[in-house]
Amino acid sequence: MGSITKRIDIGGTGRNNYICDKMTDDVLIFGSSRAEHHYNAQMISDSLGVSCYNAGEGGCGIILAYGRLLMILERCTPKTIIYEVTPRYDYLYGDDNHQYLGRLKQKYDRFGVDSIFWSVDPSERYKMISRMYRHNSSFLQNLIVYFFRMSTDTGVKGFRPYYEEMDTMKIKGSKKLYDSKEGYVYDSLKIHYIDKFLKKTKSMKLVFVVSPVWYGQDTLVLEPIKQICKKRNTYIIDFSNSPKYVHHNEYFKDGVHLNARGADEFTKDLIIELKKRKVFE
Amino acid sequence: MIFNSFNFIVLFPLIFLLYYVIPAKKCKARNMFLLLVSYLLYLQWKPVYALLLLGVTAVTYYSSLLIEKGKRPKRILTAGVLLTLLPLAFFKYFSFINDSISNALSVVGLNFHLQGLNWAIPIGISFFTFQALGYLWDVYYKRQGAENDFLTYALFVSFFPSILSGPINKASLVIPQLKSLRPYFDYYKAVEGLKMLLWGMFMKVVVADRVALYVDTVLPNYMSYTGTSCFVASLFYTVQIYADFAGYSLMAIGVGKVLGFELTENFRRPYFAVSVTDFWHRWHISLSTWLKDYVYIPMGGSRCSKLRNYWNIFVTFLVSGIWHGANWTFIVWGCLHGICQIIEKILGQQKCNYGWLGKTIKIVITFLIVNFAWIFFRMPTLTDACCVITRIFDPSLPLTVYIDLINLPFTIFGVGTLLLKDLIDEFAPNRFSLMNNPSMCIRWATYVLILVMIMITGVFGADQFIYANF
Repeated sequence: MGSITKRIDIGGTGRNNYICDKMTDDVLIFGSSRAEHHYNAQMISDSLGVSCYNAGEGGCGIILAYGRLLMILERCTPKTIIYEVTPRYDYLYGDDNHQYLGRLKQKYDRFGVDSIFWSVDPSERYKMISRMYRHNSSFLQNLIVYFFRMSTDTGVKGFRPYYEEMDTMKIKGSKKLYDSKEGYVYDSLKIHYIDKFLKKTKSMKLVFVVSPVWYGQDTLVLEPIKQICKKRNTYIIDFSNSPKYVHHNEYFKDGVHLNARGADEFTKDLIIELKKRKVFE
Repeated sequence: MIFNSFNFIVLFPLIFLLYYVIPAKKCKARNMFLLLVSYLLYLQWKPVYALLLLGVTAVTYYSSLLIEKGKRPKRILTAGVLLTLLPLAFFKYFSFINDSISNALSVVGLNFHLQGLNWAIPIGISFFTFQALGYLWDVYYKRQGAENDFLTYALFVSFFPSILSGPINKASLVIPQLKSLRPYFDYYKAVEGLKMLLWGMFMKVVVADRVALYVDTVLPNYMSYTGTSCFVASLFYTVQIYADFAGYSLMAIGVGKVLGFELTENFRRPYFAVSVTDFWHRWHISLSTWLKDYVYIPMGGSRCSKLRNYWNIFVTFLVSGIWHGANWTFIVWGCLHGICQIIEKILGQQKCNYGWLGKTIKIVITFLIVNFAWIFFRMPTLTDACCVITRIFDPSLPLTVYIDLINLPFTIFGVGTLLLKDLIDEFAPNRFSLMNNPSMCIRWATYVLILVMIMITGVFGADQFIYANF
């Protein structure tokens, strides 16, 4: 099963294999589904004259990003990293951190990846002894993908746009995303991995970006990242409350995801901002 | 301790080995060891709450001794019951009663609200409280002699396989086993127990936790999904709660068997029930037996007028609803079950007197009624439950269903396997037996296959068992 998984070159597994084992691009995009579906890597490549790959992954944040970065650094050092900030996945407390390990399970034997598992749950050290457990919940898809070449779209340079129109049923009120009234509780493990990520990317340019949100977003939730930017002397480019996008159905698929049109529009705006800030000079 | 946790997988063989190191002759030492393990496992969660467990044990132990002495037994029983119920009422119902009163007062313009409690409910409190109360009533009704040995009694209340989510064992079943000289190692019972443990684990991690992924996506955000998706989610919740709770009960009974004990059977394929009354003979059997013995029969049961009998049924299921949780949703759920059973009694539809087609129709109707009631059980408020029901029946919504393509094959596999096993157990119990097949090859192939399926299709790292919250 392990060798079959390694050989898959299409779909989500193929994309994961490419990111972890082959990718050598200059500019990397990390983050959650909001990275995966919002950043048109081809457009960035064409506009800025650099090679770019979108390594975002739905439902994942800093823990997966750090694991993938470790594997990428084994063979190359990217020049620039664009990190899409999703507070829930990157530093807020709440979710079960096991969820971020899914894509790393099959890469458990790679240098440094095992310790990520142990930090999330010490018992993973023993569970991972079982080779079967590494393919938990993914073996069926992988077999189908490998033998029948049936899979979801791998995307263009990792970018997987949503082509659907806005589904208004998915909109819950018009309140901004995140609410500072209840106070924010931070996840120490995620913060630990942000620190490690920052250390590993010291020699690279790192830009934090928050892509548009239909609802708009509470600005206080970004405070930890703003402090990191101050320390690191880097940027955070926040589009979450941009009036061009907030409550504009034509750009969105749902309250937090842009559709293909919105993604292209946002990427254009991001490129202008990156040029303005001379990130690539 | 959660049976599908890694800690359990590591600790249980250790507990098992240490238990069997103690010679069978030293029955007391074995009991002491089990008591120690039970309390240590309970302490793992919130140490201070072990005092509550000890308190409930002490109150019921001394009350039963005083009741047996025969001086004012009714008064002692009342005091014992009230004292035993106090922690349950305080931890589980204080906030609910407080909120309900202040809401009612606010309707008439009075603003009065006591500071709410933000404390976690002691784990398994409803189970061990009811088990201890059952014992107290048994002593009062002279169905059971008062136990003189405190350690034996404390082990009965805190026995680790059943403290978290039952089954609610009867003292007459467990205490004699604790006191008797148990065989050193009952091989056949242990094998039976391990099979139960394996199948219980399959039900929990392969079926319950898998369908939970769909349920937890759709039902909390029901406004974003079509009525058809809400209906599918409600069906999945019906499967989830069965696989979750029956899986846990099987594991608890299995662990008990490996240690040489027999615990109360808790589930008998409830979704093949031909009526709601029949459903309660198959679902959470230990609770329905408890309610029958200590609520329904003392109120007069069926040996009274018809109207009084209907009232008794209604009150019994109202208590069942309240037992499940401090929320109006549970009360409505209990009342719905009570009302359905009253209607069945009036129409004489408690049993099935028809052929296979009639039986099938009755099974489907009962399933849909139970499924409908589970919506109240699952949703956080009555308003939410009503909104979900309204969406399901709203003809203006599109008939599209949200499909989670990644989980769909695993869901079909898990639910299909469970359905097939239950179908065979229900309608052809002596045919196609895989785990009990006379051929060793088939038996072991089945064990290995189930284990492999758990490893590769199970959902790990999921929340604890649903009924551990009660």
